[in-house]
Amino acid sequence: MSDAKARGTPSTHPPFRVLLLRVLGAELIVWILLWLLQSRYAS
Amino acid sequence: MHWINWAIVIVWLLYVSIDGIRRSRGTNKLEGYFLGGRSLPWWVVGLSVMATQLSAVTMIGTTGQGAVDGMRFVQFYFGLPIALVILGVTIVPFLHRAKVYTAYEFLERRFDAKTRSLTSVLFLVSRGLSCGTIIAAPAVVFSAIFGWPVGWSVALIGVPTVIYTMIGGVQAVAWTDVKQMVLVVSALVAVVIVLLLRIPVSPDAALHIAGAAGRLRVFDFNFKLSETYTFWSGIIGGTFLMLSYFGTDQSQVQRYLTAKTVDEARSSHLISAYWKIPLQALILLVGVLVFVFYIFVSPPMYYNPAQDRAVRAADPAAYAALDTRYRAAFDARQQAARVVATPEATAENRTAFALSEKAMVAVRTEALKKAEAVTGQPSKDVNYIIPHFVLSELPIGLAGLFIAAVIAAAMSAVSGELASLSSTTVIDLYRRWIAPDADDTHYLKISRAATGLWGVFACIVATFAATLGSLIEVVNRYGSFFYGSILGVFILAMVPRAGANGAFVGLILGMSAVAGVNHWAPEVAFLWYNVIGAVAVVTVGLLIGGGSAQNSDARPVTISE
Repeated sequence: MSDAKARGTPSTHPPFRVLLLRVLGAELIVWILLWLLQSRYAS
Repeated sequence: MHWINWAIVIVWLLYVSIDGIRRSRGTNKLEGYFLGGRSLPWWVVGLSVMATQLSAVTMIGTTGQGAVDGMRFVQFYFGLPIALVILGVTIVPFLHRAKVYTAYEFLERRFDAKTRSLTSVLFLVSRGLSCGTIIAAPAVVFSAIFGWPVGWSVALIGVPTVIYTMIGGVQAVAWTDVKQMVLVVSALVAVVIVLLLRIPVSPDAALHIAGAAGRLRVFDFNFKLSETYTFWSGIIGGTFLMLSYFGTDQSQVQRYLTAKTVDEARSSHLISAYWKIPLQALILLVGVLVFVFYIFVSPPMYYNPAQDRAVRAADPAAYAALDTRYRAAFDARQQAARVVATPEATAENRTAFALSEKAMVAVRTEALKKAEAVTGQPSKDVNYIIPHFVLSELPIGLAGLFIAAVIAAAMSAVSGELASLSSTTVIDLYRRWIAPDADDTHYLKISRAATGLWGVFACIVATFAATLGSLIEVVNRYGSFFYGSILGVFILAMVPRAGANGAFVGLILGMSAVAGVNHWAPEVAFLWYNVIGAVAVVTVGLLIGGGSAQNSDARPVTISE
């Protein structure tokens, strides 16, 4: 049995740094879209 | 309401109740009842988490807020994705691996029984009350619109929810939440489509009109502690609130404890991290578009029909005079809006429109004051705007679908709260202090009874919550008195030098600090209470220290990865 199997199923979850970058990236895109909405229509 | 709309509502209520009860299979053990046998797929957990947060308050209160205040409320959620990522590598893996039933159970392992009991009692008080306000929001509106006693509306929402949650436990909650979530999002999208078809100008022109009225101002970068919704209160206060809500509130913790693995628990949170802000933006946009719709279609002076009847009956002459001024203001605003909708519109045209909007708001404010004087009740009618629109403007069928979605949103939020109230009552109080050695069958009976009793309590609170003002803020305000301080205790749990006495005293002083700010500096917006409470608890806890084990199970927790 391999070490990985012996330890149980290895985590398939991305490391914290990657996760943080992905989520913050997605949030940044949402902010940019909201900013574009505001600057086009509310200024 | 047309009978077809009622039929849709009744069919939905029956479907959800039966589906929930069907899920009672596998709930003959405590772990099955409270944690679904720790076997639910991540997407079910994730949608259930979102459904629990999306209550009827969101469906009618937030959309109404979009209509009168625009999009800036979305800033409230800016801290949410950050909080969920932090929790994904701190509390989520720890609690999931600890195989606990409740978040507070962990506090006894780390600190002591009194800290666990105090936090669970605080949770029970705040959640029990907020559960009542969640039922009250749609109940009060339905009563005013359909002319029912509030008790009937409370029963319509409360009874089926209590029954399926009592019988089916958290499995029933999670699986029905998935269906409720699909219905809610479908109803919102359908309303947006109808609005875009009914507004007599292009979507681009409609957004120009909304923008000229200030409804599309999303970002407010002013750093003012007195302003509730700013970029900074959302990012800083919001992150603390969401850390506390998702990390330490049993209504959320219980949900990710049902996931099969730690990875699935974390993935379930990512659904909210990615989709919560866009969903809130969609909900606010519905309100903004309803505002634009009522620029071209004459809106009522009072969205709450009970106020309309009361003022009309009490002072017909004053009512007629106000109504005449309101209609004149409406005509002037519509004319100004039609100019803004043209490609040649200038800055002066937009200013003229904004002034006409202000004039109309002034007449309505006067009318609402009149209603307040006549009825002796708070006259805010934000929560009635969307229901009025739905019932008077949506086609038959779609109106029923939207009302069913409002009820669904209430049910999904309430069922999650009831399951968490019951688990905390049984695990943290009953099993801990009253009957520690009973068998699963006994605990299961008590758990079902606790769910039922909390349901009854919530329904009673719902009947009185109507007089508490804007329901959105009421729900958040209850939480904010305790949330920050409870988060502070969980942060202390991750610091090895923190000890049980420091955590307990810190918790008391943290809540005192929030109460002090609320009393002596009432201008500080409630989102900041979370920061104040958490910082006070951590500071006091670290100053007192005492990190050496104070009971045999106490051990520091470290961030797992």
